[in-house]
Amino acid sequence: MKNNFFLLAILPLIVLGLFLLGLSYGTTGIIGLREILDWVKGSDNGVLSYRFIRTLAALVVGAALGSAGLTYQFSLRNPLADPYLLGVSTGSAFGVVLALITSGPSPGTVYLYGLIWGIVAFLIVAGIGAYVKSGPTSLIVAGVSISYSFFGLIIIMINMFPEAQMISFTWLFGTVAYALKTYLAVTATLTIVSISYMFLYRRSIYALILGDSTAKSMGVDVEKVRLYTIIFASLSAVGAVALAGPIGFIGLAAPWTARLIFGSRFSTVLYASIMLGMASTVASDLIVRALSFNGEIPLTAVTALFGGPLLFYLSRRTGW
Amino acid sequence: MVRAVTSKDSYNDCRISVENLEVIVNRSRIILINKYTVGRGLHLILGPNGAGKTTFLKILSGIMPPGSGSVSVCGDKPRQVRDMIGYLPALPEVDPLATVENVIEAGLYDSSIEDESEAINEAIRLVGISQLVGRRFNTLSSGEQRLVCIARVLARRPRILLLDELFNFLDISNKERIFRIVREYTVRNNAITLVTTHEIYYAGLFDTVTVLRKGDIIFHGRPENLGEKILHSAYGIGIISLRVKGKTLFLPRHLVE
Repeated sequence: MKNNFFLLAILPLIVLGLFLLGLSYGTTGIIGLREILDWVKGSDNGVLSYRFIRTLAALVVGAALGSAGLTYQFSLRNPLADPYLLGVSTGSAFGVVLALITSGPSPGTVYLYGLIWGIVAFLIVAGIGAYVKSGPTSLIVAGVSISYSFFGLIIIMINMFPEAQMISFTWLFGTVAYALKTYLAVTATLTIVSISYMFLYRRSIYALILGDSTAKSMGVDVEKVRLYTIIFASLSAVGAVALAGPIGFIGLAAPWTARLIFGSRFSTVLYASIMLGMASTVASDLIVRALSFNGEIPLTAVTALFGGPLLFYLSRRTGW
Repeated sequence: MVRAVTSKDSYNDCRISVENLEVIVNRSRIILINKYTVGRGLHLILGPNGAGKTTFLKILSGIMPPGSGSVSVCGDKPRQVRDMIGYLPALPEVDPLATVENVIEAGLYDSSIEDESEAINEAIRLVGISQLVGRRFNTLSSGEQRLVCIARVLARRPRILLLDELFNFLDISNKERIFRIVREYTVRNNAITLVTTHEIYYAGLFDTVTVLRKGDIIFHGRPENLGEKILHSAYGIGIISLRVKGKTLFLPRHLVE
């Protein structure tokens, strides 16, 4: 944990490199650096404009999932927590399927429904959590229960409206292929607000790893910090899901990898987790592009393929 | 050496005093203390399981609000002197992925310590856990976890130490070592240290002993005045006392009969 400054310092370079690859590589062929520079200077290039938004969406979603997952882990004091644990992703997915069925694949409606239903699901979970009021475990139980209920509704809806099946399928496993500038901007704003909160309250969130009574003895308002932390983390998670669907594993694997390499000082590992989230989402999307022969394959197909073995390896390394 | 942080000039007169404290949880009375006052030194709180020891320490550390009555730490409410208080819970609730340094560093939240890394290193040296540095909490044994949590408390350089079940999970040599470290720290810093434990044979080493039973103080005084009868009425088992080298040692009677 001592000589990690070098690793921490090269993380942004890795992200930048992957971002450039995201501009350069795609199903319609490879674009050279000169063309990219011309495009930056203002020359028209439809393919690059598309790839730019797509890659940027992957970056934003990765940052949102990496930071939200880590913050959930700290505030729920559960290293297996991920950004979807409290039901926002299934709530959001329910909203999207509802939008697809009622108004077809209209991006604005899909995004708005995803956002609203994600927030609705979170409010139900937080409400139950506040009502029961017995610490992180009851919140997790409420989240998992609400997730299952929404999941049941999704399956019933998809079954009732077969014409929405294909697009629902792609969306339910996450993709940044259809991200639009406007909605990307909204999600990016939510993510920046959320990360700013996490950074400002880094010391209180860090103190939560010692347990509720120790944190309280030092003056941390544990219930308030936990509530706000979860609200802000859920905000960026909902933004990510509404934009790109519930992409799996990133929100669990990025914080875990970060904590395993860099320890658990919140500020350091927040930075690392954001970087790793961005890098892994862009890298996964590059693999998606390489494998998409018959239309877009969902991102979770790739993240799950690599994420499964990675999680197993990490759990061995952690001693579980 | 580790020096405690002073946030009040009048510290040397500092006392913990409790009057007419009554705590009721779910309609049953947990604590009823008419009067309890201690100054600097090492103070032991004994009592059977469920006697209210943990609740008492939680109230003194400001974790729990006092039900009714008054609690003052150095003339203030516990919440107002939090930078002076070091609280050790009976069981660790630490995130399993946190490293040893993370635990100690996170424990400096809102403290008045300026050089954090120096405070962390000093605590690690003082408790003798340099060989554990870099390890994650879930890879430590229970006793090692305990040592890390004790280092976390000391790194904060508190003037008031509230140590719940201090000797939990420690082997006999670590018990001795930790007791010595806590005693030296207390003396050097004029600290007020309250310890709860079930190791009744430690009673003779403290400045005062308090025995709680069902939230009630049934004894408070110097350990020399503590008798078998009081311990018997607290724990409900036979207790014998042995005089060894001028000190009184209490033991459960069944060990020798």
